[in-house]
Amino acid sequence: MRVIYHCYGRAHSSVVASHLHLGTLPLNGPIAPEQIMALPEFDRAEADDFGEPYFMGRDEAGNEVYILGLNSQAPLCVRAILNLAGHLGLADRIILVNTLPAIGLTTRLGGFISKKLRCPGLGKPLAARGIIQALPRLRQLVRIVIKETAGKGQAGQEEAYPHDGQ
Amino acid sequence: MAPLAAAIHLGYLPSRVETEAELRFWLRQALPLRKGVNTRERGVLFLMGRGRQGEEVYTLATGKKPDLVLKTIERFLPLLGEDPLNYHFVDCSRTALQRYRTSKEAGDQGLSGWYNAIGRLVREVQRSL
Repeated sequence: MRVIYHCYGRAHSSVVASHLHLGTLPLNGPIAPEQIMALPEFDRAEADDFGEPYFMGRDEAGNEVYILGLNSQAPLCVRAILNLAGHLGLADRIILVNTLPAIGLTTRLGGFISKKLRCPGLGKPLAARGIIQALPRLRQLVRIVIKETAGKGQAGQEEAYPHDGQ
Repeated sequence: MAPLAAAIHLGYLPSRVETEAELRFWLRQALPLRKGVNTRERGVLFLMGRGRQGEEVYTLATGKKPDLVLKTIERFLPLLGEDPLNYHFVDCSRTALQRYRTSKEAGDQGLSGWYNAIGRLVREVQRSL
């Protein structure tokens, strides 16, 4: 299964959500803003990267985890991706998770200052601080996604018919 | 515009009309195609039918900014196990407008000129298959 965390620019909330999903950031306990800022993909993507899925890794269940920036056109693009998957008979093999509702104004403001105003020195730490504030909501979102996708990755494909042999 | 292009591609409508009266006649026919979509249907691929070479013809409403949604779809095709070369995305609004400007210079004006520009676009697409 493919899990795609998407946000506005795939530079902040989707990056952190994917690291929480992959276990490179903990799902419990405190996280320092410096840990967030040290993530290689944090505050990195540019406008040219909109629409480009970026592979982050595989989770324990074998699901592929991606991040994606959809600018302000998330509903339209998500419908298009899911509809395409549906036409190909793969709608149950892909899940798109919007991380934007989990974050607040501080991260949005930090992202705006860093990316639009081209002041990463000011915007990046602000975005990281906003992520720390939004961490409970992001973690809750990721926990739900992990629960929903458990057993649907490569490791779980052999159990497509769990009642066989009973 | 995309449903009109699809109708021409599938053969429901001719690719060229001589007069506006002829165009009005064709557009009065009860064609099995949807005309326009609401906002929530933007981004949804509608299968309209198959062309003569077996190609599937879809319409897709992309709103005022088609570039990002088309790029997103193209980038996701490999992730879904599809070869992007098997897909041909045609921005009807932009391309037909270019064709119309050319045909207008050649004297093909008005509604029929606009329709013929779409027809010309469709013929080009069919030739490229």
